[in-house]
Amino acid sequence: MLGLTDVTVDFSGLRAVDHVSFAVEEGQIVGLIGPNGAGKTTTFNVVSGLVRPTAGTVRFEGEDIARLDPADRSRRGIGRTFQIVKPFGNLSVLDNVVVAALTRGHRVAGARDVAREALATLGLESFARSYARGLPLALRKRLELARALATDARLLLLDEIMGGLTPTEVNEALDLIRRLNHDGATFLIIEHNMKAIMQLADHIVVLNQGAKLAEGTPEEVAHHPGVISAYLGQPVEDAAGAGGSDDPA
Amino acid sequence: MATDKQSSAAVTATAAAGGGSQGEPSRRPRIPRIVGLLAALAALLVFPWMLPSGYWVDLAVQVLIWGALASAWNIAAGYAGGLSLGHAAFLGVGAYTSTLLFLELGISPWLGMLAGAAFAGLLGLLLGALTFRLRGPFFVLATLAFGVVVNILAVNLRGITRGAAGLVVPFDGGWENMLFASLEAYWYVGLALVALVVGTTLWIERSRFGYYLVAIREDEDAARSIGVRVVRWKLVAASLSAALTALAGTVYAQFVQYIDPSSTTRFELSVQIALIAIVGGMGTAWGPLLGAIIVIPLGEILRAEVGGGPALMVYGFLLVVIVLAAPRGALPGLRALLRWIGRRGAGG
Repeated sequence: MLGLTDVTVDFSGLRAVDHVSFAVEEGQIVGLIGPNGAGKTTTFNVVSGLVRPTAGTVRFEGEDIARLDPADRSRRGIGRTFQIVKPFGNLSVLDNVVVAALTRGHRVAGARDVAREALATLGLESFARSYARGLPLALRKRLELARALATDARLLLLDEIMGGLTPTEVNEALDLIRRLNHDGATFLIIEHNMKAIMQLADHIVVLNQGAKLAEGTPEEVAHHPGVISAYLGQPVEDAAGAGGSDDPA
Repeated sequence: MATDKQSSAAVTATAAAGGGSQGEPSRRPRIPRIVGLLAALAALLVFPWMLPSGYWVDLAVQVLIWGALASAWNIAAGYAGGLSLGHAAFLGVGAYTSTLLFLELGISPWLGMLAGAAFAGLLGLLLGALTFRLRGPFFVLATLAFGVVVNILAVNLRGITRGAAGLVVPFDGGWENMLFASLEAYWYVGLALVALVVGTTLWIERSRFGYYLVAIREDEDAARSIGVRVVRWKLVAASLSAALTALAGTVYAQFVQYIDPSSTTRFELSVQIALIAIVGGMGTAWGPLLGAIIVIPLGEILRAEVGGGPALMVYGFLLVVIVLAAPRGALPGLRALLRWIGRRGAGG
C-alpha cells in the first residue's frame, strides 16, 4: 500500500532521514519506533506531504506521491494525527470534524452527519458542542483521529497518540485501533509506549539517527542487539511475547 | 429532531463566539422574525430623515462606508487569518479606477466600480500569490509594504493619477453617476454596500468555503492534512476581500467627490480599517460594522469636542480601553455579557 524507497531528508545540512526504505501492506499495523531525534516524525511528514524528501520515492497504491501537496495525499486516502496536537481550537469539536468531511464532497448538512458518526466512533459525541481548545489532551488526540476518520482515510498515520495517556486510556486506544484495523484501516504508528506498540503492531521499523536500524516482527526487533543498545536498553520480553502471538488479521 | 436542532443552535453559538459561524439559525419564531426584519428595514430607511442635521447624516454615511471596508477586510483577516495592513491599496484602486473611467471616458461609476473591483481582485490575487507562504509578522509586513508601494505609485504616476493634486469628481448629479445632491441618498447607497459585504460574509459563514477559511486560520498544517487546498482558498479570500474593498472605495470617491493619494491609500487608512474590525470583533459577520458604529462617531465627536492633538490622545486611550475590556472584540464581548445576564436572570 505504502512504500518508501531510499528516502533522504536534509534540513540545511542536517540529515534528518538517511536512505530509509520500508513498506506498509494493506491491513497491517506497522510501528515506527526509535529514540528522540531518530527521524520518525520527519518520516511521517514525508508520507503526509508536509516535508518534501531531498531524495527517494514515496509510493502510495502504486503512485509516486512524493511531489504531491498534503491536501492531495489526504484526498487519496492518507490521514494523520500530530505529535503536538493541532485542533482547530476556536471551533467546536463537531465543526473540527465537519471541515474534514467537507473535503470529501459532502454538503454542509451531510458533512455534519458524517462528523457525528466519526465522533460517535471515538466516543466524543457528548463533547460535540465544546470548543476544541478546551478539551483535555487525551480527547484532543482522539479528535484528531476523528478528523482523519471523517476523511475516509485508508492509511492512518498516528504520531504518539498514547503519550500522556493513563493506562486505562491506553487500553481504550489499543481497542479502538484494533477495531478500526478490523474494519479495514491500515496503520503506521509512531509510539514510545513500547508495551503498547509491541502488543499492537504486526511489523516494526526501528529508526536511529535518521537511518533504519532494524525491522521485523515485534519479537525480532525486541531481541535485535542493535535495537537494544541504541534504544530499548533491555529486551522487552513480556510485550514481545504478547505481540508475537497476537494476530489481528 | 429536537436534539438535532438543539445541537446545531449550540454550534452556532460556540462557533460564532470563536469567529467560526456555521449552523443554521433557529427557525422557531417564524412570523415575529419576518415582522422584526421588516421593522428593522423600515427603521433603516427612515433613519437619515430622523437625524437632526446634515452633519449627522454625513457621519452616518461614513459609518456605513467604514463598516463595509472593515467587513471586507475581515473576510481575508478575520476568517482566513491573513492580517493585512495594506488594504487601503484596494480602497485606492477602487476609488481611482472608477473615478478615472468616469473622468476620461465618461463611464458610469456603477460600471467603473465593477472594473475597480475586478482590478483590485486581480491585485489581491497577486499579493496573495506573493505572500501565501509567509506567516505571522512576515505576512503583515509584506502587506504593509504592498500598501506603501501603491501609495507611492499613486503619488508618482502623475500621468495617470495627477499625483498629489488629486482628482475632482465633477458634480453631475443623478443616480446614473452615483452623484446625489442629498446626503440621504448616500445613506441608501451605503446601506446597499454594507448589505452586499455583510451578506457575502454571512453566506461565507454557512458555506464550505467558510469552514475551510476558518480551518486555515486555526491551523494551516492540520487543514492541509485533512484535504483543504490551503493556497487556493487563501487566494480566493484575498481576492474577494480586495474586490469588496474596492467597491467601498468607489462609493467613498462618489461621496466625497475628491480623491488624492493621501485620502485613499495612506498607511493610516489601512490601520483604521483593521482597527475597526478588531474593535468590533474579527471573524464575526457583524463585528466590523459594530466596530465602525463605535469607532467612527467616537473619533468624530472627540475631534469636534476636544479638538486636535488631545482628541487623538483620548481617542487612542479609549480604543486601548475597549480592546482591553473586550479582547475578542465588542460583538463577542456583548454576546458574552448578554449570556451572563441571561444566566443571572434564569438563576433567579
